[in-house]
Amino acid sequence: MSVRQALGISHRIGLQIIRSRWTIPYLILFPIFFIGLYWFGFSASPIGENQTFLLGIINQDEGLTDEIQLLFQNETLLGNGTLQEFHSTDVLSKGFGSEFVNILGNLTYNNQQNSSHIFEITEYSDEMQADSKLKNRELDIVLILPRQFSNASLGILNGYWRNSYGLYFHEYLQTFDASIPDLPINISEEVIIRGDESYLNYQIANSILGNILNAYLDLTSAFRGPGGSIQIAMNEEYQVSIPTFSLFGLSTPGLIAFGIIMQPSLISLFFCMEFRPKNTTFDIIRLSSSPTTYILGTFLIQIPVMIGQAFILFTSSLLMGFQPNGDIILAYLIALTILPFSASLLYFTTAIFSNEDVVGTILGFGGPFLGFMSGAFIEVPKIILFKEIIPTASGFPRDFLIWDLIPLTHTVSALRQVMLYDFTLIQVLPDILLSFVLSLGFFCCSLLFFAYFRFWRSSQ
Amino acid sequence: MKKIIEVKALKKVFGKGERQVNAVKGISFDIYEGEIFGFLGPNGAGKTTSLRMIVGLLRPDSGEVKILGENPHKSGNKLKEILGIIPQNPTFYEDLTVEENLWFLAKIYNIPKMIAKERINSLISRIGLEEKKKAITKDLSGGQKRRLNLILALVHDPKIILCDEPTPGLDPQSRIVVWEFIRNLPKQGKTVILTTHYMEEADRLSNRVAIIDNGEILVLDTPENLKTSIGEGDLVEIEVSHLGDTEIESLPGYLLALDPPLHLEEVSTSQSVCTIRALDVVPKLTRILASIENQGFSVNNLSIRGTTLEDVFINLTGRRLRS
Ligand SMILES: Nc1ncnc2c1ncn2[C@@H]1O[C@H](COP(=O)(O)OP(=O)(O)OP(=O)(O)O)[C@@H](O)[C@H]1O
Ligand SMILES: [Mg+2]
Repeated sequence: MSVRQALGISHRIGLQIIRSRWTIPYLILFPIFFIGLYWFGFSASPIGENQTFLLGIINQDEGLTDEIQLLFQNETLLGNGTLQEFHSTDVLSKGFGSEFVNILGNLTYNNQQNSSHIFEITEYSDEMQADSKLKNRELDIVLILPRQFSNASLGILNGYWRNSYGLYFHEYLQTFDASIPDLPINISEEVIIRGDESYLNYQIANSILGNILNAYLDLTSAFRGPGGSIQIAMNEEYQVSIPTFSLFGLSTPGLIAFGIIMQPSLISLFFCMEFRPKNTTFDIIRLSSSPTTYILGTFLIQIPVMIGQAFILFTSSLLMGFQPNGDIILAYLIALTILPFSASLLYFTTAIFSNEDVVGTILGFGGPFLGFMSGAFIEVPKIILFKEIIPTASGFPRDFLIWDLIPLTHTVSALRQVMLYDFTLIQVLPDILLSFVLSLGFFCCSLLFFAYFRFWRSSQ
Repeated sequence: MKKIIEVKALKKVFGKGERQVNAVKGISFDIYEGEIFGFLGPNGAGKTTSLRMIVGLLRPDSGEVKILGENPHKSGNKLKEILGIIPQNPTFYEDLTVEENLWFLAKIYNIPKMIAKERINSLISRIGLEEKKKAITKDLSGGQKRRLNLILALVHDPKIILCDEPTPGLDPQSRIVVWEFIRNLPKQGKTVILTTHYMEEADRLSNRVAIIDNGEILVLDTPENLKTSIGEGDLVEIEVSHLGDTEIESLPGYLLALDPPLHLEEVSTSQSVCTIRALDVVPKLTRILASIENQGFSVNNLSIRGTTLEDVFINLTGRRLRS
């Protein structure tokens, strides 16, 4: 095998693609048309609006230590007004955690006339119990507030104080009374969000909750201390923007994936030409090259074509007004790397079996079919192969569904999570890895099949 | 002479039951370095099937092929560079230009760029396609496609060239270009296997010819030996029409029994044609024609020619090469 040989094959297919009259309609116009159609039909239908999500909370917050609670009773400081505001809230006795739960419970969709609650909250003391509710979809999402939630919140305040005034809050207080103890600094504690990542309600609730947590951090750090006093007035200042979703928005990642999936079917046309019974070009290949070289060559041209296509689709959907809630760069990266990689596997499947026009056409449609099955457009039925084995960032393992065998499923899901729900790279890493490993696995299998069917068996 | 290809008892059956075709029924022969070996046979004789088995594209049911001592089905890449196959159907990518197709082969055979460039240019000019260098091959004429097909197999400069029916559909001029081209290959140290159903092509190009029919080699020899094997002399074909009651079948007996004898080697008839083979036939013509007319026939047409491989084929099978 040599790279030059493979590149020779890539070059040839590249020329064929450029010269084929199918290229532009098939690779570019049709997918864009499809996205446009969706946009036209569905961009105005919001979903998840005014929906109340079932939120389970496990509040493990241990509150503030007695020592700190006592500090806020300090007569001197109350006397000069420094701690007045703080003293008057429930935060002191109940802790930041339960205050946060209150806030969540009171949040309403106030952008509409009716002001329905965003969350219906049930508190649990037992994680197992909450998890089993999640599994039965009696809960959409579960939030776990850690033991140190209050201390960590105070630590954030403390840090902000120092950033603004050059002193930690306790250092400031200690100028009045040297006996005042230190307040927490830099406590890192994780707030855990759990749910079934394949469940639409979870996905939406998760992104709302993510926004709220971000706002909470902003809020705690946006403490101002005019005249040296602390204000903690979460209820009033809590302005959370609720992300909106339209069917178009929800479908866009799938549509992009779909557009890219179309490409293997085009390539399968070229393959069918090569494998037509009366066509002998493949004899030349068999006489001169090896299966590995051939596949490498086709792969090398496949990838740039798909990347170009992903770019066009992604950009055109942005231009049509698709607003990703998440990190566009990360979404681009996924769309441009792992998606083409996993989609190209379809093409090899096609390559192995297509030897007549009819078969090729059927397999050409097989690509879009797999696209559907990967959940690109629709929520696929839950056919479980293995229970709870896919790790997720939330720590709540996901079931391995039959569709999870398709690498594209994971790519589409990663793309959707990044584009719609603002997941980070770490959060979608399991999906990306799965997609990669599955694609690679399929690639190796198809290589074997290809060598067998096309190089070995055809000489029978 | 060095044996370059050995074929032993090669056999291939396609299909099963009613559809079974015994395409090749155990053929054996050797091919020597530097010769042009012709496979002459009618459609469906098994020529293409044999070639495909020889190069390793098709697995024989039984029998053995050795090319330079190697089995082409097991040799991996070793033989790939040595073999060049010119398929029966023009085989290239229709949406690429003439040049691009040639370059594609240069790349997959890993020919260094400089060498490839020179070779491609020389091949294009030798086969007379300079003007079509940049043409998309889809737009070439049938004959131009055949010519391109021929040089595609030579880009990697193979030692052995297997050429499956190079000339159907060519005009006489192009045919001569192609014949010249093939005839020159041994001068460049190449060995050629050629299949054809044109007896003239086999006759003119081949050093040795195997006549194949129904998957079997009927005879294998030089064209000269094959032709003399069925008898010496030239052939006269006389087309007659029938006036009296005498049957045309009686003519051979009558002509052979003439006194004084005409010394005819062989006389046969089929339908309205009487074929006579004889040495030094021209002086005998007057008497032959007079005798035929005596028998109540009138002569419509007459031609004299040398023996061809077609006659050899007819002699062997009772059928013509092209029906
Ligand atoms: N793949 C196949 N499947 C079934 N039968 C086949 C196959 N290839 C060839 N045959 C049959 O084998 C016989 C020999 O075919 P082959 O192509 O070798 O003939 P040929 O001598 O090359 O004829 P032509 O001059 O027409 O090219 C034919 O009867 C043909 O129908
Ligand atoms: Mg043939």
